[in-house]
Amino acid sequence: MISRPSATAQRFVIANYLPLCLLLAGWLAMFGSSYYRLSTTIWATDAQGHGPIILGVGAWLLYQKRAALAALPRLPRTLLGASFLAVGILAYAIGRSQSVWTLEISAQILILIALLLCFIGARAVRLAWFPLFFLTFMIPWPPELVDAVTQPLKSAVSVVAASLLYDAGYPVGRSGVILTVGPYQLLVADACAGLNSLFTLEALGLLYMNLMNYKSIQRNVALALLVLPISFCANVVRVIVLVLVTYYFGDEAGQGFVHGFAGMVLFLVALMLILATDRLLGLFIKAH
Amino acid sequence: MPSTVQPSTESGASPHPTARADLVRAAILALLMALGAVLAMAITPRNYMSEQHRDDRFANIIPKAFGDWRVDTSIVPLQPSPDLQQVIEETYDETLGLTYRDSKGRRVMLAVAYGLNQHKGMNTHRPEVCYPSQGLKIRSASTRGVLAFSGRQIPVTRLVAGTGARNEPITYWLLVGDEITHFGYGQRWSAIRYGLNGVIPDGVLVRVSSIDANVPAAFALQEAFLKDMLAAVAADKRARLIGTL
Repeated sequence: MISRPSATAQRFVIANYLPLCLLLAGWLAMFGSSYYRLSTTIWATDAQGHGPIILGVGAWLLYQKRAALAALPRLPRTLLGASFLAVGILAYAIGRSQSVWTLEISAQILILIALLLCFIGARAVRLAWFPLFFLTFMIPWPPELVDAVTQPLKSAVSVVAASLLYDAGYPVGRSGVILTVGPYQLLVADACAGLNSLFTLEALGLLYMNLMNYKSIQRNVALALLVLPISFCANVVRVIVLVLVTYYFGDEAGQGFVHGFAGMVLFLVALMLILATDRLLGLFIKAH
Repeated sequence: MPSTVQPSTESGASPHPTARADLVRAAILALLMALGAVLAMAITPRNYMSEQHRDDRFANIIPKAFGDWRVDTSIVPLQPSPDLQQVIEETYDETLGLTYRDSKGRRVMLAVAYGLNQHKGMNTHRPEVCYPSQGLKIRSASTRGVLAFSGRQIPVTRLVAGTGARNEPITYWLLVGDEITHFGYGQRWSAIRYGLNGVIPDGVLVRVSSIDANVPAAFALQEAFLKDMLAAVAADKRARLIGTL
């Protein structure tokens, strides 16, 4: 007697979720293998190590919007959605087949927009702009572009770190990207410089702002811009810590530290600086 | 605002889609996404452009003596660090490093790196990356030049690396398939054009350098060396070094 209504309820639930399941299956057909290949290649590198976190947080942010999305009036923009889908699929197919990560991973955002347009409408895209934008931080950009942005910062980080340590009385010398500390030489190479984390930290800052849900545009913009010098400082701290560990505990400890804990230090410092900066901004700009 | 336009003007859009319409819509979209995955698989290049070159070693193509130049066996070229060496061995199908000496005692170092799949990390050997990773500083940024050889204008890149008293001008070019290109966007663009035609192009990096404080003289010497070398390579093998395009 009891099983009948519950079965109906179940059927109702499944009917509700079936379209979503279908879309998820389509999504995984496209990007499931992308995620797998990312996890075995560039997600394992320092430069893109934040990729899976961005993906996870992006999915979670989107999930948080589910009620608001469901409450929107359904005004599907099929034609516009189809155009986004076509461009997305083309970008994916070319990127995937020709090993252009930038295209393959950008396609995620285009296809997500297409799905929102086809099911709910333009307002859904506007509502979900932050998760969509957040996902851009997991796009692996061409190294030339990343270098052009981060190269000046990278050398500046080693200059600042070296002169701070020198002023503190440590026997530190710098020649290009090589730091000499006592008997040891540290190569501030691409992977070690940590400025790839610039993008990660910017994402972190934006996520923080989104979670704090400030309405003040000035406060959001100020914080987003201040994340850049914050990430610079955090990187200087990272290099200084690295040099000091090498100086006091030897080369091996320093090298072990690079691949273990230095990244954590970077993020802790950056997070604390973001919180402190936000407090400071709060004194001048009201949150709402 | 476009959203104020009535959706009824759009094809197939109804203001209140039913559950059934949703299902159909979702099924179509999922199918299109799956087709996208199939499309990507279908256009993925699988054929190596030059499988036949696998056993045609550059060590045999490039003569050990030509013009006034002889391989100087008394000099062992600068060896990369062990971990870089491992990367090189995993990445390339052949690497060649030789030092030549002329009758006046001038030396030119030649390095050739060959990969059946140019995509697989040709950048490891990009001089702008490879020299700094071994602690040499780039002293003068890369400039583009041309090497005129038998009616061809071969686009080359020149730069100067060094540390302390060691000043090392470098001339190099990169060949992707049959096409000489530059690292970065040019290289990627060539590879994509080949790839969309279904072939995986091979890649060759040809690099010469000499240790010389006089940069213009070193570049002139390298140019003369390269012309002598190309002239000495058998005509039917020359394309392996400079392509045909």
